Amino acid sequence: MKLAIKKILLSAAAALAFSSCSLEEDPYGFLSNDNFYKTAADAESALVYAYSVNSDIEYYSRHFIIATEVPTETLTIKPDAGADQHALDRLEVLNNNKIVEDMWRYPYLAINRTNAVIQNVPNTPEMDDTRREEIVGEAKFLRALHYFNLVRFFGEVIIREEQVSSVDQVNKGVSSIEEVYNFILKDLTEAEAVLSTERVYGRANQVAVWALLSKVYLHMASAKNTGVQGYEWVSNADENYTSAANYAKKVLQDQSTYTFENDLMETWNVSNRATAREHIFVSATDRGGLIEGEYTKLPMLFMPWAEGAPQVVLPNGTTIPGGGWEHLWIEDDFAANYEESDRRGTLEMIVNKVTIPEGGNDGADLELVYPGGGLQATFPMKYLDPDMVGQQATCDTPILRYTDIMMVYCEAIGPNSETYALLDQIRGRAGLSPLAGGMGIQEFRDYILEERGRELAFEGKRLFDLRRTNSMEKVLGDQYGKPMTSGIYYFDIPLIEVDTNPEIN
Amino acid sequence: MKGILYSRQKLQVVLSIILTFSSLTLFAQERVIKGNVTSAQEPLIGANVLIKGTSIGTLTDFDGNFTLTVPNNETTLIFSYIGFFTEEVYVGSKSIVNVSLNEDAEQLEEVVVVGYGTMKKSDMTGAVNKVQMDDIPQRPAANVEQLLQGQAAGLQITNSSGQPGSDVSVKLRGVSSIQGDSSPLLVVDGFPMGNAGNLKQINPSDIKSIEVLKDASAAAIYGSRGANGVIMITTKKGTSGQMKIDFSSRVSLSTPPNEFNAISDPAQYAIIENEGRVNAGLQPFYVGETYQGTYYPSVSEIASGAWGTSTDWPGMIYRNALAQDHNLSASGGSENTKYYFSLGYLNQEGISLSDDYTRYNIRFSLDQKIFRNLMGGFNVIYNNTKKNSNFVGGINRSPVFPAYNENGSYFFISGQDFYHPLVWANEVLNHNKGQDFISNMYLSLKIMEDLELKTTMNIKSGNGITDYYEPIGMTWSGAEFNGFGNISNYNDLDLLSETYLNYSRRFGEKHRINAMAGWSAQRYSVRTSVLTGKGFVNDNLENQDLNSAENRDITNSYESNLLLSGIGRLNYVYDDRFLVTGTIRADGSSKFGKNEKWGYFPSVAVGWNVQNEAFLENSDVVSQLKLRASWGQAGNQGLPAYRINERYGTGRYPNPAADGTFATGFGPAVYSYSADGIYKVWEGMANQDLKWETTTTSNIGIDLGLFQSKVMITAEVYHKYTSDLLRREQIAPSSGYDMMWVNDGEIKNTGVELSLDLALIERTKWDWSVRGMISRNRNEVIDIGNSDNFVWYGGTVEKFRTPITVLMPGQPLGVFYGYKTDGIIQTYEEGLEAGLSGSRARPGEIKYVDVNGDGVVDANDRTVIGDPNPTFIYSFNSRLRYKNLDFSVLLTGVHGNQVYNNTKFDGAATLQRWTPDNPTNDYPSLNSSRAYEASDFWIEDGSFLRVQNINVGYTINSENIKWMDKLRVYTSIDNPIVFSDFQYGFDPEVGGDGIHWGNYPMPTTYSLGLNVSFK
Repeated sequence: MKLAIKKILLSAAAALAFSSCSLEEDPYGFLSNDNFYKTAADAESALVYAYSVNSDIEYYSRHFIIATEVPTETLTIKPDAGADQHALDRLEVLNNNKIVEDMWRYPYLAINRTNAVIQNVPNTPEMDDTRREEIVGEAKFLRALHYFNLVRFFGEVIIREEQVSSVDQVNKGVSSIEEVYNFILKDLTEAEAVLSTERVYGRANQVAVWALLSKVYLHMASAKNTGVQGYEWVSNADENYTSAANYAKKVLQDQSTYTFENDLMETWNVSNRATAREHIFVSATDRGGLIEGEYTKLPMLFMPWAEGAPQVVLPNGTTIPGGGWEHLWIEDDFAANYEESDRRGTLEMIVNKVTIPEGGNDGADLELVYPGGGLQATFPMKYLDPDMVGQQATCDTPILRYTDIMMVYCEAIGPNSETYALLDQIRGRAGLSPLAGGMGIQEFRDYILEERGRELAFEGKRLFDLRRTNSMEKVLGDQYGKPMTSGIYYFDIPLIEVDTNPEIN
Repeated sequence: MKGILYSRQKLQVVLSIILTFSSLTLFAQERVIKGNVTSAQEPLIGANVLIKGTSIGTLTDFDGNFTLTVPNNETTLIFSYIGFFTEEVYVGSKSIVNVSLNEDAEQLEEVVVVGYGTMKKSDMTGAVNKVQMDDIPQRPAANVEQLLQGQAAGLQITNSSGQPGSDVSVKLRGVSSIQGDSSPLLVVDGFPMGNAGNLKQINPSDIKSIEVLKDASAAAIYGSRGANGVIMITTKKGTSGQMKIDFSSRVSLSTPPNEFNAISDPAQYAIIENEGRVNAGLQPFYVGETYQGTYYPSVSEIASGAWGTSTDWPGMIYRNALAQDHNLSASGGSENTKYYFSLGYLNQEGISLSDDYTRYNIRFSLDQKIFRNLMGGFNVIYNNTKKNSNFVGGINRSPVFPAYNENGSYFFISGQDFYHPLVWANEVLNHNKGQDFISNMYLSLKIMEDLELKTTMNIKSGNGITDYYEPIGMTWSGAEFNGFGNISNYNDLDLLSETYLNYSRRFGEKHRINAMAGWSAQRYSVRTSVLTGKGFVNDNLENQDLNSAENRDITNSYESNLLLSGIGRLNYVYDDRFLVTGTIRADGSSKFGKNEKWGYFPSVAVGWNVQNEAFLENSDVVSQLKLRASWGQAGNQGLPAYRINERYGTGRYPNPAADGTFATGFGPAVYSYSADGIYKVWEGMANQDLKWETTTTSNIGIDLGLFQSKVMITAEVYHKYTSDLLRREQIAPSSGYDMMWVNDGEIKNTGVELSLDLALIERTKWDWSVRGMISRNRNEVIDIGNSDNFVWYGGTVEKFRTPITVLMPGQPLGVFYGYKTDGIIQTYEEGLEAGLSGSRARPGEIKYVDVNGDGVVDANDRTVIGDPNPTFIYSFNSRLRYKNLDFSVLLTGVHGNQVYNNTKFDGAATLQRWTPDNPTNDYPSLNSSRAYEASDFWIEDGSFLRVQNINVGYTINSENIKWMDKLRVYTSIDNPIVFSDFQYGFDPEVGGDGIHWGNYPMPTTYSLGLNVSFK
């Protein structure tokens, strides 16, 4: 009966003047698995999509920096910022905090894109095999990076090895921290095998893999060494310190693409970003983009409001087109932590005054300073684009930096003449005298933790450094007097995941 | 008046050209004949007398007399009158023609429009409400849906915004679908026009009647789209006879509410702001210092008058608004040709500055007898709308600061002050223009006496353009991009072809059948593009030359879907006593998965006309009694196209050359923005199993007429069960997606409806009728999601960082979910005891309740905290006439629903905050960095009774004025008063989700109007 009706209907419909009467509608305006991954260009494009999520507002271009710096002693936020950011500042982080939710959602969004690459590109016909393997290797590096972020933010997380493309794949339970680390190490080891050291701006290569491996091993080693809850399974801290040192050493010695930049400011010069010596891996942006994520507003978060002046001159003579939002403020206690002669703590890196040309009453230049007149706080020189258009900036978020890896090496190896020399090199760039030497291993590592705070400030490293060294209470509580109630070593898995995924209790 | 007469002549000229099928009139041998038309010795007033083959004719007067000039002796006159058999009389040499017409009992009876045909009301088995437009009070409305408020039991029209040209929410018998199409299908003269909400294409004054099809027996014939009921709209058509011209005109004034939830005293405002910051441990603003370039005076400076500035923001934003509405129609025809032509113009200002809405409608319809057994006709509609909308609210902006600087430029409170209401009203361009062209054509062939074939072809083509520009530096996008402009284009095409046979026959004395069968094919496609320019040299050209922008951005889309259907209906009537109706519709939709495209929607219904039974034949009391029962299924396909396909997204990443160019990526997940425009929502996973949502409805009804139908009572009881709910489900974000479309869940709606019509007085001088309706719908989610707890229903509400409505088995649809509260914490110990900690345990905080008693207040303590569904809705309509004076009042009400009032602790309410000196349990302390939880603190009783309209009119029926038939002048007030317990907010009438956002307030509108008919 049903069939008969259908037949009658279809034949009747066929008589119509309509262009098509098939109930199969051709998709319009979007690609899908069916018509993608067919050419080398498709494979490259799939990889581009995996990279592009890094620069989204919700990830490295804004929220990652807020989530990793605001809870620590380095940054606070302006009074009229959102309640979630204030909760992060107080470390009173509930599981419905939207910034933290993004630290869950965006890595997974990115992981799904990398999984699509890892799954499909090996089957892409007619493409260069070397490039094919490289693309898969880059995707594995990215997947490892996102899992490393997830495990550091949340601890036990869900491992997803396959692109989610049907509903039965959606709900899945968490794996142990150990399993997550094994997964990360497997991805990185496989990526290491297929990538070269050739530098490609904004993309990952073998050096980035080494650098990330060194950080992963150091995280495990130091967490085990200092008794961080959740890392009891790590068999031996020293073995992991050794692995960390080995990979850091590869970065320092087995390649010549990246090296120590002697000029303190050059690393932050956006016009030379593609050749900057220190940036092993960044999330890339360009002011010529169409939406935020292609360009970034990261500088706007730091730059002073400056009374809406069209031009603001910084103490080093750099002119920036207009002020920013003065949203993230350097904490006074943190700025006071720099030695007087430390160039990183002075006007060169931490700015407390700007000049508005002819901004005064009688046409004179107007100076705004903090404290006392016109500025709410100091701001760093790390995120600036003198050529920004409107609010659209070129300003990459550093993810792996050479100096970071130097310090990873030093921390892993412990005190010896080589590591003292490396640390003195970093100190020397900041205008500081060499270390006296003679530190014990713990003292040495404690010093490095402090030095990392000063050197890598505002770069999205601080929360993880404090967490992996079990020093949240010691540093934030005891030293800086921050009240902390929740989300100290791990953030809770976001409520939205708990509410929708029955595999999570 | 001269102008109108002139245009009337002109119209006649135009029409006489158009009516190509009419015969030529010869003026030879002209002479005058007289006559009288009667029925059973009583004169028939207003009977139609027409010269056969022409459009020349006249109407009989109060004594049934007529006078007509006929061209010659070979003339035949046609006498017709509604409810009577038509008579033809050959004139010959007669100079007096008297005719007696016989009643046609069948025709006299009310006819109800149903899908693909009409039925006599006495033959109906389904639950159908008929609304005559003449019975609805005349009041200003941008669309017909607004006019349906309070006109049909079970129909809930919610008008949550006072913005001109805005949509209304239409719900029939609760909500049985949760996403996509949850409002009834609108069918205009047989053409399905989509979901009810804003039918701007049809001028309300062109509408003759509206049928609301409520149960499956009536709606199942619309199969896949009938699940939420069907609203059938019948437009006016020409009738044979002399041209009739109607003109109506109305001018209205709308006034904003008297009270706003805002603090008008600047010193008080500053105190409140400061207190909020101090309590949050932050530096207060109003201390006589400069912050982000703005000097904030101290409270004492303001209070002492030294500051001197005070801005009345509500007064700046809102205004008294004018509206006008004019309609002109001309109709008439001959025996073979009938026409109807109309023009409409509506212009409404919004009570918010710079908002306005203009609508033009043109319609022409023609019905032509082509051959003896072939009819044809068409209906052409053109409409044009223009809308400026720039509402951003802003009543709670600081009254401390001025609107303008001394030099006349706008005063901005900080560098990020992007919501200056006057900037949005005056500087932002947001202008929408829309046009629709609708054409319906039909041919109707009487194959045999009992068998008729009808075929229709319908085309609806719409387009819309929005011009948008935000000036440099003054708004978010204007500042981000140095000027932001775009042009949004929208274009859709709806083609529908239907062919069906109607067979109706009487067998013997007692058996009648009516059968219909046919097919239908509908293709709908929509194409959009948005051309955006970012970064302009200056604002002079706004969005006029997007190519001059520094960056240009284009998006475009297209989607198309096809619906193929077969339809059939059989009515059987035995002895005018027993009625049976069966319908079936098969629908195939391209939106669904490979094996799920076809859906079959049957219905069956029975009726018993008890008044035709012998035992009631002579009853003085019962004049009508009908019992009805029906069962049937209807569907829903309300989801966007292509959800069965995996859809990849695209994104760009800088090229390795770092030269400002980008590489384009494709891959899983594509985003759109959440309804509030804040969050990206990622989607794109395919679901090949998507299929029809099905609603099964059972209905029992009774129609009772007493005392010669002076008292009419209709009662209905129904049970609706929806399975395979189509919904966009929030899924675990760890999947890499936020949402996907699924068929999942079951919902039950049960309800009763009662409507009562009383003709209290029916006399020559007096008429008084009263109509009351009440309906109750109980809604329950039976099953939802794969979790045994709940799934989120609405989107994330920014203030609470979580959605606040859920679907939970055993609960009504869309209940509010969050924490229970128990007043305000008075001591820290009390807070700790309650299971709160840290800053949440401090005095003055909202005391959230540890529902599960585990000693800690956390997410596990969230529970159902309120229900946005009303217990019942009701309306009352009274019409009183004394001689020529008429008076009507319309009340509508909603009872027992709750509203989640986001603005509960805004504005004036903050003056009652908790302080150590005012340890209230009603409001918390002020704290500008408090993260509020979704809780029952925000929930209020949403019941209200609104006086919708009061109308007073005077009608002049003048036999003495030659050119005029009838004139009515009237004055009316809309929304003069609302009775409710709702606090502070504008109005308790909120959208379907029950959440109050502080929307566009509802004005009170005063109107003056006139209707005049010319002869």
